[in-house]
Amino acid sequence: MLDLRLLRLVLPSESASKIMRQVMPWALPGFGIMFVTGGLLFFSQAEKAYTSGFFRVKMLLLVLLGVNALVYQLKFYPSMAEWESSETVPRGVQVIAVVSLAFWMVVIACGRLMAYEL
Amino acid sequence: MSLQHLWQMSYDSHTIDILRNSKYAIPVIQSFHLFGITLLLGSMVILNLRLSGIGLRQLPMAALSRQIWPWAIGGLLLAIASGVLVFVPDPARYAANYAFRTKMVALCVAVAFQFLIYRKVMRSGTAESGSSRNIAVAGCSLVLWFLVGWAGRAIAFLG
Repeated sequence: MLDLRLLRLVLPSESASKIMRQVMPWALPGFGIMFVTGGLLFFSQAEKAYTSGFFRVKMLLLVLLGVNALVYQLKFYPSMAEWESSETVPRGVQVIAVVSLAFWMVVIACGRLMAYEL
Repeated sequence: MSLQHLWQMSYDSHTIDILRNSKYAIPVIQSFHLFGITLLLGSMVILNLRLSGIGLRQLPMAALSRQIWPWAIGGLLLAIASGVLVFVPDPARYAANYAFRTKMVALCVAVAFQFLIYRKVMRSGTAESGSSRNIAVAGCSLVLWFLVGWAGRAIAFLG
């Protein structure tokens, strides 16, 4: 939803930084829970998971998603007050939002496909 | 015609053979099922956090509901469409599965709750405050949708 807001596809009437401040305290614990439960599932069948191509792609994309978010935090977050009042979203922000949406979808698909022998 | 006949017809259909015989069809459709679920549950968590007054208090409920609702419906439709495609190649097995049955009942209740009670609260103009009624409505909605998700996950583990 945050990415969709950055692309102005949802709630354009509310400022992106406000939505971010309101949603992140819920999104981060959500990620924490998934990280811990995902870790437990991994250790229950570490070898099978580690050798799965889908698992490797999923982990790689999670790292890249972290880098993507870090770039946003360093490069665009500090200046949000300046650019978010205008109708046009900076090119870099658009790219980061699209990459984030696309990568998260592939992460979901890889997680699902891991269970199959493909 | 009984449901059993319908399942058998579906099982025998040659069009559906394509789904059954392809190694990739069901896993790919399952992935789309998850995209739909992500969109739907994400939307529901956002709306219900705000409705209960527990979170997102600085965002106006009316605008949030108006803007998020179409994404929730889109997610629901994607999940239903992909869910049907996963169901039709092997309908009798799913229909006999208790987790699947629980999921279908919970899904019907959740959809009815969302369209009748939740929307009534939205229209009443009393959704902005985290009153005890709003907390109860948000809680019911979340429990119902997570029950659908949990029962869905359980299909693979329970008979």
